[in-house]
Amino acid sequence: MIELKNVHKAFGKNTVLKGINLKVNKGEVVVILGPSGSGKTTLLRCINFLESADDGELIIGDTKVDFKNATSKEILAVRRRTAMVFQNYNLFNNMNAIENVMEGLVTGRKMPIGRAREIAKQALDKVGLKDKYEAYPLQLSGGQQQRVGIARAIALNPDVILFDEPTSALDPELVGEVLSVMQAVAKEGITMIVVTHEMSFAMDIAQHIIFMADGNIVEEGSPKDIFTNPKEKRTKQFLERILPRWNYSI
Amino acid sequence: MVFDFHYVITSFITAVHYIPVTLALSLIPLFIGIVFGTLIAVCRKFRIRFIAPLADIIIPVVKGIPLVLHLFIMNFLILKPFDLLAQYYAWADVIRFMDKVYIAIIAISIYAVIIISETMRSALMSVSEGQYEACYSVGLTRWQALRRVVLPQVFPVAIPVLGNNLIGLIKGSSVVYLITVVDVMNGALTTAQINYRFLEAYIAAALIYWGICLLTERLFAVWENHMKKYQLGSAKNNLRQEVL
Amino acid sequence: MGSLFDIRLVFEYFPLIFSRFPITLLIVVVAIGAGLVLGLFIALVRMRKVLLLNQFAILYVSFVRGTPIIVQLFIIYYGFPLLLEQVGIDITQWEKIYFVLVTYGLNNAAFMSEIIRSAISSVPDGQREAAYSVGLSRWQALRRVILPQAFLNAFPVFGTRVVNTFESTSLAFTLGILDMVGQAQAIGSRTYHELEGYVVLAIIFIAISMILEKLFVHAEKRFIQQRR
Repeated sequence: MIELKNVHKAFGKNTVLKGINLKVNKGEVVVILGPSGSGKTTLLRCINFLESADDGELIIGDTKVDFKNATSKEILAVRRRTAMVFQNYNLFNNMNAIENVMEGLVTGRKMPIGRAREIAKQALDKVGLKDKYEAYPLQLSGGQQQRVGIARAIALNPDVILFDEPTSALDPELVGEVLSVMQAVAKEGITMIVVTHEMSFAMDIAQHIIFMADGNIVEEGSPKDIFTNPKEKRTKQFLERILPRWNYSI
Repeated sequence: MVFDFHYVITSFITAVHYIPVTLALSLIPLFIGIVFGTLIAVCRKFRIRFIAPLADIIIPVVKGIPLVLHLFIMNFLILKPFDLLAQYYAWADVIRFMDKVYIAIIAISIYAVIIISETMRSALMSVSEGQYEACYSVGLTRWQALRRVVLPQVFPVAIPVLGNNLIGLIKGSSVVYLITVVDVMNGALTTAQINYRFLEAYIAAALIYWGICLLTERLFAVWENHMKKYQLGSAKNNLRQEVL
Repeated sequence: MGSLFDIRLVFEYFPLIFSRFPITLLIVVVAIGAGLVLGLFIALVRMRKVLLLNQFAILYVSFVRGTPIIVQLFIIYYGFPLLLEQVGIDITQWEKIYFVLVTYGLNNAAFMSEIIRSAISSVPDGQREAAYSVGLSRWQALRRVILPQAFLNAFPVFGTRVVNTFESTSLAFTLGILDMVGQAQAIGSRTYHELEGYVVLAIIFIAISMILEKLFVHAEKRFIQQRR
C-alpha cells in the first residue's frame, strides 16, 4: 500500500535518515516510537514531501516516486493522496473551522463548494465539533483545534493520514479528547502513520510498532512483541526510560 | 513683521485646491508600490530564479537613496534629453509646457516600491512556516497557498505599516516643489510669493498635511480593525513602526 | 555640451561633495542626542500623564509626525526668531545651520519619545513591581531596571531611526545650507552636469546607510550576547 525504500536524508553534515525501509498495509495503524532526534518526524515529513529526502523511493498505491528527482507534479500528486495532522495544529488562521476543512477539497481538488461543505460537516461531526462550524482557530481550545485538524485530514479521504506528535502541544487534560477521536478514526479502517509519545495509544490502537533510533529502524513488530518482549538493547533502554512503571509491573 | 493669522487663512484656501495633487503624488505610488512591492517580496520569499538574487542586491542598495535624490535624478534623466533635443532643433520651451507631475509620480513610485517591498517582506515573515506546510499537506500548490491562506493573513499585519508608509509618502511628496510641481506645499507658497508672508504660508501647509495624515491614520486604523476581525487577541502589542 | 554623463566628473566631484560630510554628521549627532534627551522627557511626561504638559506633548508629537520636515524647517526658520523676540532674545543673526539643528533635534524628539514610550511599556509590569518590592524608588526602578531592559527592546527601532535621520538630512539643503546635497546642487548649477553630483550623493548615502545598518545589527548581536 505504502512503501518506502532506502530513504536517506541529511541536513548538512547531520545525517537524519540512514536508509529506511518501511511497508504499511491498507487500513493499518502504524506507530513510530523513538527518542527525540531519532528521525521519526523527518521520516513522516518525507512521506508527503514537506522534507525532500536525498535518496530513496516512495510507492503509494499505484504511484511510484523517486525521491532524488521528483517533479513538482509528482509531489503534488502524492500530497493529494495523503493528509497530515500537525503537532501545532497549523489550522489556517484566516478561515473558520468549516472553511479549514473545505479548503483542500475546493481549492486543491476543485470540488464543488456544496459537496465540499457536506463532506466538511460530516468530518466535523465525526470529531465532535457539530457546534463549531463557524469558529475561528483562535476561538478554539488546543484540543478543539487539533480535532479540526483531524477533520481536515479525514475529509480529504486520503490513502494515509500522517500524525506528527498530534498531542504533544496540548495541555494534559486535553489529550484524552484528541486520542479518542484518533481511536475512532482508526476503527474506520483509515491507514494511519502516527509519531507519538502516548504509549497507551501505541499499545491499544496500533497494529504495528516501529522503533527508530539514530536514523535507523531498530526494531519493529506488533505492540505485544515490542512492549513485552523487546529484542534490541536500544528498545529496552527506551522503554525503561519512558515506561518505568510498566517495567516494574511485569 | 508680525505674525498674522489672516494670511494663514488666505494661504490655506489657496493650498486646499492642490490637495488632489498631493493625494495623486502619494496614492498612485502607494498602489504601484503595493502591487510591485508584494510581487518582489513574494519572489524573494519563494526564491524565484534570477529575480530573487537580483532583488537581494538591488533593494538594499536603492533603499539607501533618499527620496529627494530619486526625484532629482529622475527629473534630470527625463528632462535633460528633451532639453538637448530642444536646443538642437531650437524648439521653443517645450519643457516649460511639460507637466512635471508625471516625473514626480515616477520618482516617488520607485521609492514606494522599494519601501513597500520591505514592508511586505517582513509581513510575509510573520506567517509561520506551518501555514505553508498545512496548505501543502492538503494538496495546495505554492501559489494556491499564497493566494488562499498566506496573503489573507499578511495584509492585516501589513496594513498599519502600509498606513505609515502612506503617511511617509504624503509628507515626502512635499519635496516635489523643488522641481516646481505645484502641490499643497507649493500651492501654499504661491500666496507668499506675492505678500511675503512665508511663515503663515508654511503654517497653512503644515495644517493641511497634518489633517491629511491624521485622517489617513484614522482610516487605516478602522481598516485594520475590520481586517483583524478573525485574529482575535492578536491585535494588540504591535510595537508601532515609525515614520520618516 | 552634449554628453549627459561623464564618469570622470564623478571622481572629480566626489572629494568636493564628501568634504561636506561633517555637516551632515553634525546634524545627525545633534538630532539624535537632543532627540534622546527631549524624547525621554516627553515620554515620561506622557507616561506619568502630567497635567497640561501631557496634552501638549500629544499635540506636539502628532504635529511632528503629521507634517513634512521641510515644512518644519521653514516654520522654525521663520517662526523661531519671532517667538524668541517675544522674550527679548534676538536670533535674527543666527546662521542657517543652527535653525537646521534645532529643527532636526525637535523633530527627532517626537519620534524618539514614541520609541522610548513603547519600549518602556514593553517591559513587563512585574519588573517594576519587583524593583519596588526590594525598596527601589520610582526613579531608581526606572534607571536601574526598566530603562536597561527598554533600551535592549528599542535598539533595533532606534537603529532604523538613526538611518532615517541620516536620510532625512538630504532635505536640510532646502534652507540654503551648504551640506553635501547643497554642494552637489551648487556644482550642478555651475557646470550643468547635475547628474554626476547626484550619483556621488547616491553612492555616499547608500554606503553610509548600509554601514550604519551593519553597525547596528552588529551592536545588537553584541548586546544580546552580553546578556547571556
